[in-house]
Amino acid sequence: MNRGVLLFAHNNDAVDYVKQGIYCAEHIKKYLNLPVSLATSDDVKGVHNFDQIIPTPNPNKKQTRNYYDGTIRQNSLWNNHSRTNAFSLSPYDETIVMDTDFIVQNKNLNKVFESKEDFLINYKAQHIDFESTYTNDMKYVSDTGIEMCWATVFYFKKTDRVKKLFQMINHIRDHWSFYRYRYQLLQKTYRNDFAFAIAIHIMNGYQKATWPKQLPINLMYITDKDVILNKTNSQWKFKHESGLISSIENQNIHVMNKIALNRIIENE
Amino acid sequence: MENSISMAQAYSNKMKQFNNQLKLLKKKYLEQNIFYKNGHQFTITLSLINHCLGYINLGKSNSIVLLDDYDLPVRIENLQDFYDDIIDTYQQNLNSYIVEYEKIIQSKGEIQ
Repeated sequence: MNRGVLLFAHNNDAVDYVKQGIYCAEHIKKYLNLPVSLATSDDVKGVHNFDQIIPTPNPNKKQTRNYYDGTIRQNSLWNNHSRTNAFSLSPYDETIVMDTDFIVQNKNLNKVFESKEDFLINYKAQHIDFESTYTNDMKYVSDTGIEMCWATVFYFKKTDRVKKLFQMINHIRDHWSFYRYRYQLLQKTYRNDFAFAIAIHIMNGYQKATWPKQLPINLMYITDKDVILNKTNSQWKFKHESGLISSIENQNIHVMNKIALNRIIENE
Repeated sequence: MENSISMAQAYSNKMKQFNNQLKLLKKKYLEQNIFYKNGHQFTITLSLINHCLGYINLGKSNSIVLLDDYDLPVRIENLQDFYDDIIDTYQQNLNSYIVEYEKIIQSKGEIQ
């Protein structure tokens, strides 16, 4: 069985996702010792550490979102539509897919390969200030809706069931306005977290079930309203929206402040 | 009066940071206690350790059924080996936990 990590990168005016991908791959190789492939619509210039570059079109040309860097806001294209093709694009039998702003800093994710499960994903995420309450809109896709899941990191084996799951996710993506209405989602923008949650719900016979199970890691994150103060070796220091200072070391972290992350990458 | 309130506020902020660092460390340590056997996930807890030890003390070590983290039954052919593995992992994690915990206590949560 060949194993590896698949990343997706589509650059926009605000964020150089390819550069983030190279940085992310460095950490994956250091801590997980796995090959990394990049699916992208952009040119990968200069030195890189990807084992394969998989050209993939960018199907989204109009969806935008706000990118914050603390209090500074920038509106740019949000190209998140190609992740649903992970099953067909992955060159691996067992694949970990992760956001390029998810920074691996320990080997705990390698435990997924000891699992007999064909798909693993997180249902919970934890802000590292422990103050940002885990509100209902983070637990459920809507007030009366189904349980949320986080497509930031997930693992899959190429089984028939997972193939069907991805077919369902692609179908949901292509008929987003219907499913958004059907599942009472407030926001109009397509979001992978919601599409995955809806597909899992449908695949389980429209019920909450024990499949898929959770990844063996905590999904710790900072938002784009939090600021990165500095990074030395594997220690990150943050200033949160509340004013609280925190620090992590050798822990995986989802750095949602992508603009600040790119500054760190440029300075290293 | 105003000075004492600002001192109290500064202390409060310091404690907030200190407590947050402790919570982060605990999360980190708990994550390391996830263990896989026969493809099933077990979080190593005192309850699991004592449950295994109970069977071993009763002389029952072969072909024992345990429940994984999702309450699914798993047959463990050699419970002694399983017990040795989880206790080893648990103690290693506790050792790294105490080292980092003492660092936080010494620095009183001050972040360099």
